Amino acid sequence: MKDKNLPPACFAVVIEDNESVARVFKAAVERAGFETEVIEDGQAALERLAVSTPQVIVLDLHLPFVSGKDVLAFIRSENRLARSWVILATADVLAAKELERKVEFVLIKPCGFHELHDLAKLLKARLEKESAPAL
Amino acid sequence: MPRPITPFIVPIVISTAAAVFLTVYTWRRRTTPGAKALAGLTLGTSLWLIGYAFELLGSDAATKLFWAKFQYFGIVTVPLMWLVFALEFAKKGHWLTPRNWTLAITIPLATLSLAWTNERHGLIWQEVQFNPALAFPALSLTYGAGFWVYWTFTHLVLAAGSLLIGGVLIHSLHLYRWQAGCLLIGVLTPWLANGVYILRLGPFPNLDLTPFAFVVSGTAFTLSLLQFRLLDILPVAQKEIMESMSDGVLVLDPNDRIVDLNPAAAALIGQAQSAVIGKLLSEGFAPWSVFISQNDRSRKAQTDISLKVGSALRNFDLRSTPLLDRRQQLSARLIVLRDITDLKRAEEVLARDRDQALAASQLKTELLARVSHELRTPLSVILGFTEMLQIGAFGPVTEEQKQVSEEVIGATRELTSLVDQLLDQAQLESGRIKLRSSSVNLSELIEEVLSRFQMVAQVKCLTLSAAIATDFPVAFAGDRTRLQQILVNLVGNALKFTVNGGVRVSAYRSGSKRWSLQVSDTGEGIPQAAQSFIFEPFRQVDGSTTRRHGGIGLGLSIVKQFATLMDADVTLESTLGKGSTFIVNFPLILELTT
Repeated sequence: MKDKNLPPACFAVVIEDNESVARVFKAAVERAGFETEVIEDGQAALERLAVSTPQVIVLDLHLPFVSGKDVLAFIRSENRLARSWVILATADVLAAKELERKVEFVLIKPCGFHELHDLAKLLKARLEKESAPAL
Repeated sequence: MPRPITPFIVPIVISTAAAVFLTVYTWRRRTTPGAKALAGLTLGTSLWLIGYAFELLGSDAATKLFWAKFQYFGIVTVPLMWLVFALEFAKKGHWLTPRNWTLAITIPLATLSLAWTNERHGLIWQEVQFNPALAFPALSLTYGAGFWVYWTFTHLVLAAGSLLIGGVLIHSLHLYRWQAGCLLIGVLTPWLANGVYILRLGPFPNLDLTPFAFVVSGTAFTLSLLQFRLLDILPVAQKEIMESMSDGVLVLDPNDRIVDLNPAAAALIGQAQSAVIGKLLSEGFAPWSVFISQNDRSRKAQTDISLKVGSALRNFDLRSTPLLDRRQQLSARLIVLRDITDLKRAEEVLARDRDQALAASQLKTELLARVSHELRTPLSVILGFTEMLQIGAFGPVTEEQKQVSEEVIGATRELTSLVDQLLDQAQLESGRIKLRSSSVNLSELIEEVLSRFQMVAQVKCLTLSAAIATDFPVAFAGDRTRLQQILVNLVGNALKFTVNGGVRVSAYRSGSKRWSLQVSDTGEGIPQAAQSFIFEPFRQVDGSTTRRHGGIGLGLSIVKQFATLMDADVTLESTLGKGSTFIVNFPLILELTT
């Protein structure tokens, strides 16, 4: 399913505690050309984001140990992650409305494979355009 | 030869005219309590004065004596009527029983008979003389025993009436100053005049000022009665009301001295009425005296207090009302204590019930939000995996499998729509929805919504069309998300209940500052009876329809609630078997404000 010859910069994380949803999201982002890693709780997400710089972060809000809101706050406080796109994928409509100005994209569950895949593809294309050498 | 008219006649004629006028005046207002007795009093006075005038005009002793006898029609009437008026005024009219009447009129009737038969016994006048040489042309009379009996009777009656009226006067003195003044004049004048006559203090020894005094009395009472509406608002009646009231009532003078209180107030203070009247409130009768003393005396004030009544603590509504005189000066304060314990209890029960209802409603709202949230994650799983199945992510897919997958996706979207409605309802109930204004391109919005329903329409072989009026603005200000939800709900609803024909969406300007969104279908229509509740949450036409078409009865209710939030109104026109048209009339705002 993974695209071949991925540039090392195309890295995404899916922070989602529901295993099945995480599997769908991972497939959708991976199919768009990102090397994708699933993180299942907020604490692990903070630890991973402290040492890595994904271009795309798919973030759920209701996470074990540390909430998605706190993870988002960490992301926004880190200069290193300033260029990372955050896709908030949540079932919490009210919280999503509160946070919509702090993230690049919001997907309200149920969001299926196609919705996330189309968005990830769009972002991949943008990344490629940005990294293409100027003529 | 008749005597020339003397100047003494002038005041008598004026007084007679006044008495006659008062008689007519009070008789015309005889429906007012006490007015009939007053009319009787002034009629008696008129007869007395007429007789007196003719006595003075008479040229010889016999004529003068005839008119002196005539005066007795008035003389015996006046004290009786005085008593009747006083009894009615003091609310003691029930004392006028037939027996008491008989007793009361015996002496006056006997006196009248004696006057007209005086020549036989001399009991009224022992001696009658007339000296034409005197300046004042009245008879000079020496009274007999019958006269003095009647004189005593008259003065007893006058005294009794004065006491009755005086009693009322004391109670009303601090409240009805003008009326009280008139009453005082009315009571004192006859006594004064009679004293002057008996003690021979007048300018002319034979001039009886008593009938003149009754004219003054009659005038004073008439003023009290009709000008100041004294009997309309009888202080005595007020006193009785006060006495029987369950509310505690106190009257304080400007120095906070208790000048009056009713038994209910005395019971609350815990002392007898007589022991409390005249005392200062600050002498510590009750805990509420602090509130009353600290209060601005010229203003109305209210507070709730608790007082121990017997062994129970009860709640009272305490009100202080200033009573101002004609110069707007504080003359007294009225304090009313109303027992509101039962009212308070009822309020508490109501408040408890309301809190419970609110808590239940809040719980329902939270539950709706929670259910909505919890359903979205598994729906995501169903949708995601089905879409992956469809694209062959798990291996080759047959056409049939693709078709089945499509149906699963369709069902998931329907379920998602229900979840959305549940959440919308929860948000509407909690009042959390805030409108967000942005630029709306209605053409795009309608296209988007219709494309979502295109497949459903195709499956049901229905037409789905849209038309926007040519003069409709390209863009206007509105909450795009809520507008979209309104249209989704209306179109979804129309498609659900239409079997043949189709659904048409149109938009047009319905005035310079309004626009309408119209969704028409050729469905089964909505019965008249259901049209009144169709916009209520969780209500549907009937159970069978619900079973056939599904849904939870929130779609139209949400449309209505969103419309209300947007200052829009929703109307429905429907004919059974022909279809329905929903029209949402919105305000048209062309400029986007931030």
